[in-house]
Amino acid sequence: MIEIVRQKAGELLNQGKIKGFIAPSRENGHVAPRLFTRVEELSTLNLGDSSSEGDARYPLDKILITLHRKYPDDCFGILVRGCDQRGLYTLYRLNQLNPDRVIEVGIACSPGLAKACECLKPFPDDAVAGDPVAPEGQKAVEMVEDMDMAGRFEFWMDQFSKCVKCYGCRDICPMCFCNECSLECKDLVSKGDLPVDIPVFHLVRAMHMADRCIDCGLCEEACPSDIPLRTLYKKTGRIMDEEFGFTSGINKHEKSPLSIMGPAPDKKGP
Amino acid sequence: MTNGVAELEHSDVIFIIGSNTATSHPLVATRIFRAIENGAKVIVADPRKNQIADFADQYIRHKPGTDVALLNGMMKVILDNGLHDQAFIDANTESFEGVKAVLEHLDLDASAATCGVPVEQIEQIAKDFGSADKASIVYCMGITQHTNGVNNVKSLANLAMLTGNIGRASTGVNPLRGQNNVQGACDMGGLPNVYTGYQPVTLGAANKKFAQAWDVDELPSGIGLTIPEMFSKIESDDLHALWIMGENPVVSDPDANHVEKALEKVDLLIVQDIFLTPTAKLADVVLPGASFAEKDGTFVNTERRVTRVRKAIEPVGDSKPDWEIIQEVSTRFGYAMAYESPGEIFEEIARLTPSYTGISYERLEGEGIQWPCPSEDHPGTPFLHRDGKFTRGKGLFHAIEYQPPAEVVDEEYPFWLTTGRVYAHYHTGTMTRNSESLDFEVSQGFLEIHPDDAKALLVNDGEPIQIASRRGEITTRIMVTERVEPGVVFMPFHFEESNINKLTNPAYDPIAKIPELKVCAVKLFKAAS
Amino acid sequence: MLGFCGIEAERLRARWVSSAEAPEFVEEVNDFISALKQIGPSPLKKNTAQNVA
Repeated sequence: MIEIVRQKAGELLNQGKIKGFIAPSRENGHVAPRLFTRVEELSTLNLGDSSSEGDARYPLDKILITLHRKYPDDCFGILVRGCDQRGLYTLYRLNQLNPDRVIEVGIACSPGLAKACECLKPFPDDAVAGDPVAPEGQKAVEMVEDMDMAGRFEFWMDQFSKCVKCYGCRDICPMCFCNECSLECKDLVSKGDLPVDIPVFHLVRAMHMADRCIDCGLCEEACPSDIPLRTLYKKTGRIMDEEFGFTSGINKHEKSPLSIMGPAPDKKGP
Repeated sequence: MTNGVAELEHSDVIFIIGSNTATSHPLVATRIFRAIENGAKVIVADPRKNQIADFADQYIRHKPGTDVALLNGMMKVILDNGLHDQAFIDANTESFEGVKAVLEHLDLDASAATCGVPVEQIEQIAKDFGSADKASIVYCMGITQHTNGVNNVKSLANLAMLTGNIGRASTGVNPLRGQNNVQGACDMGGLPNVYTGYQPVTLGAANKKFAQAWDVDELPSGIGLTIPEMFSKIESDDLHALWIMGENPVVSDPDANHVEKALEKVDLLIVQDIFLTPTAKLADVVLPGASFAEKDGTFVNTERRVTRVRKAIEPVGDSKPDWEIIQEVSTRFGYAMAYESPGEIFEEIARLTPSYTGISYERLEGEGIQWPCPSEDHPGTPFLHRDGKFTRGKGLFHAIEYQPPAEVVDEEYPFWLTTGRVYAHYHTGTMTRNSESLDFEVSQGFLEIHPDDAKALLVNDGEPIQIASRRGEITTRIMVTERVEPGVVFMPFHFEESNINKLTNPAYDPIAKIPELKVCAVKLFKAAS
Repeated sequence: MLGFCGIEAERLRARWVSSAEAPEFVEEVNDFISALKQIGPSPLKKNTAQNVA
C-alpha cells in the first residue's frame, strides 16, 4: 500500500501538479507529519503507522489549512483516510479550503482499524490503495444509552472530572479553526482552577461539533485523561443523522442543515 | 523514580502522597486513571484535597508536615497485622530492628492525633497497602520540601521495603520530577557534591578520572555550596560572584525579600535565561539562553529515560544554547573548550559515567533509554533494584521519629500556609505567564481558604486579604473552597506581584538543604478593597 | 445530548417569543419555573459558598 502512495505522490510532484505532499514521515524513530517537497524525500513516507496500523495519525487537514492560508494559490497533495477526507469535505463546505487547490491521495483502512474506530465510512472516495470494508456499528454510544439516567450522569461526570483543561481536544481537532473560541469565553465557561466547569466545558464543545465532527477520534487519542470524547461526539453526529439525515463530510457537496435559513425540513415541517 | 511511569497502570494499589498529580504531572495521572479502570485502589494523602483525590478510594487529609506520623502509623498497623514481607526484609535489607523498635513503641492514637487522621482510616489504608501484591508509592514536593524532607523520603523507602514493594514491576518509590530535565541536571552533576552519575567529588578515583579526561593536574575535592548556603555566604562577604542559569530564585525561593537583598549585595550577578525574569532584572550581566526548540541535546525525564531533543528553529536574536555560552566563557577564562556539538559532549558523558556507558545518540532514536545502561548491548533498566538487589548491597532501613515543622502555628500566627501550583502555570511563570492563553486561564494569585475561616474573617470570595508571616506580607484575593480544611490556607507561588515566597520559611533540611516551602505559620487580615 | 449525559432534557427549553408578545413570555417563564420546581434541584448545582460574610 505504501508503495502505491509513494508512487502517486512522486508522480504529482514530478508533474508539478502539487507544491508539496502532506503525509506522516518516519524519522529519528518517530512518526510525525511532514511536507514532502521533493521526490527523493518520499523514502521516509509513512501511513501513520508507528508500531501498529493507524496508531500515529495526525490532523493532516489542519496542517493543510495553515499552508493554504499562507500559500492560497499553491496546490498541495495530502494523504487521506476516510476520516481525513470527511474532514476535507467539511472544510470545503465551511470555506476553509479551496478544493481546486487540494489533491487527495486516499487509502482505505483495514478491517481491524475500521472496527476499533467504529467508523461510519472507513475509506475515502477514490481510494488508490487498500480494500474498502463495510462500516462498523456504534457500540460505544449504545453502551452509554443502555445505562439509566443516573448511570449516564455518574459515568459522564466521572469522566469529565478528570479533565485538566489542556485544550488538547480542541487543539488537535482538524475541524476547530475559529479565531475566537467559545471555550475561552468566560461568560460561557468559568475560569479558575481545576476541575473545569462541568459539564459546560465538554457540552459546549460537543454542541459546536454537531455538524462538523468527522469522527477521526484524534481528540480522544490526544486526551491525557482518557475521556471518551469520541463517544460523546459520535452521539452528536447520530442526532444530526436522526433529525436531519445529515452526516458531516460523507457527501462532498452537501450543505449543513444548520446553515440553511428558512422553514424547517419537510419531515419536521408544518 | 525507581520504576517506569507506564508500570503504574498495572499496580494493585497506588499510594499518592504530597503530589497534585493531575495538575502537575497530567501524563502520570493518565496512567493512574488507567490503573483505576484496571481495578487498582488509589490512596491519596495530602493536606489539600486536590483533583486526583476525587478519584481516590481513600482520601487522607493529614495536617501539613505530619507525613512521618502518618507513615509510621501505617507501618505499625502493617507490622502488627503481619502484613509485612519478612522474607524480603531478611534477604535484602538491613537495620530493620531499629525501625521495628520505633514502631513497637509507637502510640497509634497519638500518631493519629498528630496528623489529624482517624485511627480507623490509618488502619484501612495500611491494610490496603500492606495486602497488595503490587503497590506503588508516588510522591512529589509535598514530601520533600520540609525541614525533615529526607526523613519523609526515607520513611517512604521504609514502607516499600517493609512490604517488599520494590525491585518488581509496578511497585517502587516514585518521586515525580518537576521539570522536563531536572533528572538530567542531577545526573550531570548539577549538585554540589557529585560528578556525573552521582560519582562523589570526594572520591579520589572519580576525581582522578575526571582530571585526566579534562587534562588538568587536579580537581577540587571539597563539596560545594547549596543554594541556601550561597545566600548566607553572600551576606558574610565570603561569596562575591554568582552565575544563575535557568532559575528564578527571587520568586521561587523561600523568604524572597531576603533572597533579593542577597542578590543585590553580591558584587557580580550573572543570569542566564530565556526571558528577563525578576532575577535577571537584578543582574549585572544577562546571558540570553536558547529555548528547548532552539537547541539539540538530551533531556532525562522522571523515569530516568534519556531522550533526544532536536532543534526546530535557529536561536532567536543573540541567544545561544547553554553549552555554547559555557564553552565560550570557559575559553576566555583560559581553559579552552572546543566541543563541536552536543553529540560530542554526550560521547564524553557516556565515557565518564558508568550508568550511561551504553548510551549513544544512535541508540537514542525513538523512545530513548532508561539508565542504568552499562553496556552497548544493554537494553536499559525499566525499574531499579531488581530482585531486591540494591545499589549499596542491602536496602538500609532508617528508624525515624516524627518531628514537627520548623515553624508551627501559635496565637499570633494561627494559620498553616502551604503552597503549590495551579494547572495553567509552571513554577515562577517565567514561561507560562508569557503565554496569552495561559494567562487568560489564571492571571493572578489567590489564597484558598475554608468557608468557615472566611466567614470568621468577614471576607467574601474574590475579596482582598492581607497575609503575613514573620518574614513578610502580601495582599491577594481569596478563593473560598473546601479543598482546604479550616486552619489551613493554600496559595500558588507563580505570581511575582503577589509572591507568597516572601512569607515562606527558609529553614531547611539538615542533609538535603531543601527549604520548608510547604509549611509555615501565617496570620490573615481583611484588607481594604 | 443532555439525556445522553444523564441530565433531564426538561431542564433546557428553547422557545421563540417575539418582543411584542409580553404575556406569552411571562407565561412561558412561569411555566418553565413550575416545571423546574417539580423536577427539583439540579445535581450540578454548585456548592461554592461564595458569599459568607
